[in-house]
Amino acid sequence: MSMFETIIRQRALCLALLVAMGAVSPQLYAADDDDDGDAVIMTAEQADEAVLRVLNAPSSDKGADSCLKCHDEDNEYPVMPLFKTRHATATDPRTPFANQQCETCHGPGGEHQKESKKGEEKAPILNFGKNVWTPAKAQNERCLSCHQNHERIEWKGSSHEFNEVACASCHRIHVTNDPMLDKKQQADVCYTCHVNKRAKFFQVSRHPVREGQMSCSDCHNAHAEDGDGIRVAATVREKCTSCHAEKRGPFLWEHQPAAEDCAVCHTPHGSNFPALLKKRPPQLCQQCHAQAGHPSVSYNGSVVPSQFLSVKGCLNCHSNTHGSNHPSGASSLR
Amino acid sequence: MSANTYSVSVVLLLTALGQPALAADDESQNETPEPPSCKFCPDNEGWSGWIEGGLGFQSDDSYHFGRYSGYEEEGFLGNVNGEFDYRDENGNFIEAVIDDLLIETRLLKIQGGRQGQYEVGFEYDQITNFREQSAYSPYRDQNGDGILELPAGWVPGLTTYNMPNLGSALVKTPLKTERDRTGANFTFYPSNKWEVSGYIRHEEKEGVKDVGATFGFDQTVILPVPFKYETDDFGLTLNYNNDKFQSRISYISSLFKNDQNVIGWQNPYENISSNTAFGQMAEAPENQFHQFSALLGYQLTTDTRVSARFARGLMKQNEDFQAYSINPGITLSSLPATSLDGKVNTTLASLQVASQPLPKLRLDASYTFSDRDNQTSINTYDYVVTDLATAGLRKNAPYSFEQQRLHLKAGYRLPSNMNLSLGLDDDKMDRTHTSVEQTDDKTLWVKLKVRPMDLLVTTLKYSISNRDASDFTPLSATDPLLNNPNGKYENNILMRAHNMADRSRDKLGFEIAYTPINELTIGLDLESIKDDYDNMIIGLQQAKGLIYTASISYAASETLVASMYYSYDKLSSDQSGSEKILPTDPENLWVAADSNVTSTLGVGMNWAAIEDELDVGAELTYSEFTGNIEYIGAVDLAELSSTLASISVHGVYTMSEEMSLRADYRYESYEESDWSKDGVVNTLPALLSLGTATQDYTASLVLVSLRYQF
Repeated sequence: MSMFETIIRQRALCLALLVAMGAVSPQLYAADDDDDGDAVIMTAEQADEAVLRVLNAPSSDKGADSCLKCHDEDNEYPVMPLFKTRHATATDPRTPFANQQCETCHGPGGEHQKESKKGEEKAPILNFGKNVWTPAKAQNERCLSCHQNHERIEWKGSSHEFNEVACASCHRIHVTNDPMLDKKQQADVCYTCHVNKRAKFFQVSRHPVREGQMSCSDCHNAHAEDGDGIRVAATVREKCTSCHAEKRGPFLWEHQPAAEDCAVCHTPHGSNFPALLKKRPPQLCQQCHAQAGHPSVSYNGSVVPSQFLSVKGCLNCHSNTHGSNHPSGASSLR
Repeated sequence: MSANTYSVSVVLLLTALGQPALAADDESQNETPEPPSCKFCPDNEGWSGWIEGGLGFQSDDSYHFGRYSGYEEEGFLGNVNGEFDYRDENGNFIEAVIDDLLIETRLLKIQGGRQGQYEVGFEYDQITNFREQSAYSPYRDQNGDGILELPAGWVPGLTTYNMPNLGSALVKTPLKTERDRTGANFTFYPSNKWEVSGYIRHEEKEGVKDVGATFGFDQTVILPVPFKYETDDFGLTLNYNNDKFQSRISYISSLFKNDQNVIGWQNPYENISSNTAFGQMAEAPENQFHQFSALLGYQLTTDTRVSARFARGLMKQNEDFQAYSINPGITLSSLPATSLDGKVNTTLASLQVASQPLPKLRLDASYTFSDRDNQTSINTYDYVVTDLATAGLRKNAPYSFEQQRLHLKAGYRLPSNMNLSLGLDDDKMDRTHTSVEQTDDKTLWVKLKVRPMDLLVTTLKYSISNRDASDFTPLSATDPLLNNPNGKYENNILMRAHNMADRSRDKLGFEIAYTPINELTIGLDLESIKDDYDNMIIGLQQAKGLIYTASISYAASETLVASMYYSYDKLSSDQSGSEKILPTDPENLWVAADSNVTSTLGVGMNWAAIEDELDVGAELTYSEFTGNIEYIGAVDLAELSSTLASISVHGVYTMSEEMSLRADYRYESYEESDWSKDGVVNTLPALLSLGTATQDYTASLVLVSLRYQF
């Protein structure tokens, strides 16, 4: 039995315990606010059935006019800013308002537009967002009926899709400017789930995300990533060198990790060391270099200050660490 | 394949694919039903938007305060922002953005066209990086040729202590980078299903950077090197999509230019060898990258989708070589070539299947092949160490690698609305010219999402990984093709580079989101990771990480929202080394244990204090870092530390439908303790630094703006 198999067997017990914990849980799935602001709980199956009921309902009598009778600026769900967006441009045949208007996305509203009887809830219509009754899959199918192109071709199978993240969890449609498309606001949307990343951008070395000079989507493709990092470019290195082209090479003398993966030495979101390094030189460099002589010396507190340790550490001399094109640059010294 | 060949291929493909389909699409467009008329839909034709002008005052000069925001200079300042939008009944539109017009982070963007038919856009964007304000150096690039010289009459010394002119020769040379990007783009929609888009972009990246330069081991200087890089990017993309099939075919190129491929500098030290008055090193060589890519998606059945990606790229570089040394006293053979003629082909191919065979079951698989095929020639070069002396011959090692990644994952909706996911990832690398050629990293993960009670969601994720490295073969210090160099190794033979070493990894993630009442959400997000490098004697022994964030947000009403978070981030590791090339017992090893802890507290609030009249908001962040490196049996390094306090407050008073007044206040204070800078300011005998001291600053900014909305 390999060590890998042994470890798997040991962890299987932990998993069994976790499953047992969940099995005694009450049956709850989706939460939504009804018109009274109270939570409505549905099971996944109930939600799927409700979606089918909405989609099989008749259309409204008068299209958007039926909706706007209630959903005006004073309504709990105001929609008017939508008319300043591209979705509401009726002359573009690709848009909802060139088709069935509101019902293009929200589904037929013939039942929803009816006045509900006293004590009865209004017939639902497809809602979009994070904490709504409509399952993410049903929401996303409406969006993807037009938007399954560009980088979203790989949406199905991506981490966000697999984890049932709805498009409208991040994107806002009924506003003039979607925060996800604004560099200064996008990161705040991402932080609502990726909370551990927010504090990283207060570390001393970082990319200019806090200032809105960069956004998460400059490096990440939220519509395609599958747990292996960046999909904006083919590889991590390719993405990094699209802005740091001076480090692209190829060089005469290559530094193996720099040629393979920038993340061997650098961490992208924030670091308390210079240049987003994972450690300070020389300790960082000594994780791979132990040649006889000065690279193998213990640069402890007894040798501070020293030209091997202070200021830029190893880079005081070995400055071309990303690669050198100098014939005598084999050790990054030239 | 050359860049031109790629371009021709793309154009031919566009032509071949485009024409027949366009005709078909035109027919289908006619079938689009007319939308109902809408009398309540508001008329938003004409111009709308806002423009804002502000005046302010900054309390202090501070590169760090304004590092990326552009607010780096003390005194009065002004700024202008705005957004403009025009639409007409035919779908013609103009969208324009002005951001930070009067400071060095300005953005000007305009996009226009007829929606659904064509669009064109132009953009100018500046990004600053003010790195170090108080940098001083005796060097000047007097002729603008990349040769940094010392002032006339410079008297060299054996050490920095013996340079009599040093103090009087120092001039302020702040370190900073500014990027100026100018670009244009277009999109053309021949039909609902086709889209052609393209962009061109020119970037100038200019500034002063700090570069270490040395003669031997004992004569080092940090140079303030002026640089100016230019990059031209170009891209052309064709998209086609219908209900079942989607595709994107692209060509991109990136041309990096650097007119100054040399960094030269005058030796400030007293010569330890003849003819070392100047040194010379290579700057970043001009290079090119071209890539052709295709992305395809097909809906196989209602519940199964297949997507594939292919990318083929070429990196090349052929900058002229410099001489082995500018030292005329060293006699060498001629260079094997006048330039590298470096070429690297890159290939990426992936296939992904996402399927939901049962309503409760989800099965996904993906396979990715990535290849870096370095076709650069291997040659033998003389090696001159720091322009001082020859040190034999070296052969270059053009690294290639092949990577294969497999992801398998399954998700199942269990009873009680639990979601269980399982996955297996396999990451295989096969490298050339490395002491470990193959690694195989397998990961098994499980994730369970449970709702143990109403409005409480918990998610637990656990993974174990095991990376197996192939046999270690010590490499020659001089020849990448020589696997048995008989003692002249490139590294201690007990050292394993951590990215190519055996490793076992445990990773745990835990999330809680609890909403006891509609107005209140409490969350906890925790990640823990532990790496063990099981067979490591010299190198990284183990690494641990723990990061968690506790957050609470409270929406007291529609007009008051407040939130707070606390984040704890600890990274630690143990590494070992040996000052002897072949340690025979553990006592020869030194061990360093580092621990880095960052704690961050953030509080935010937005309040509509007077409905439709006065909005106020505030954000406060306090972040504290401590870093320790302890040496077993030796003196520990002094503690690294830093604290950052940041406050941002704003208020917006709406005077009328069109006019509003905004006031902003920003405050930041920062201080640090850093052994790499403390006590180093031009005082190390063998290191002439830029004198950059540890940071300790407080700066604040007040800005009052008037906004006109239309």
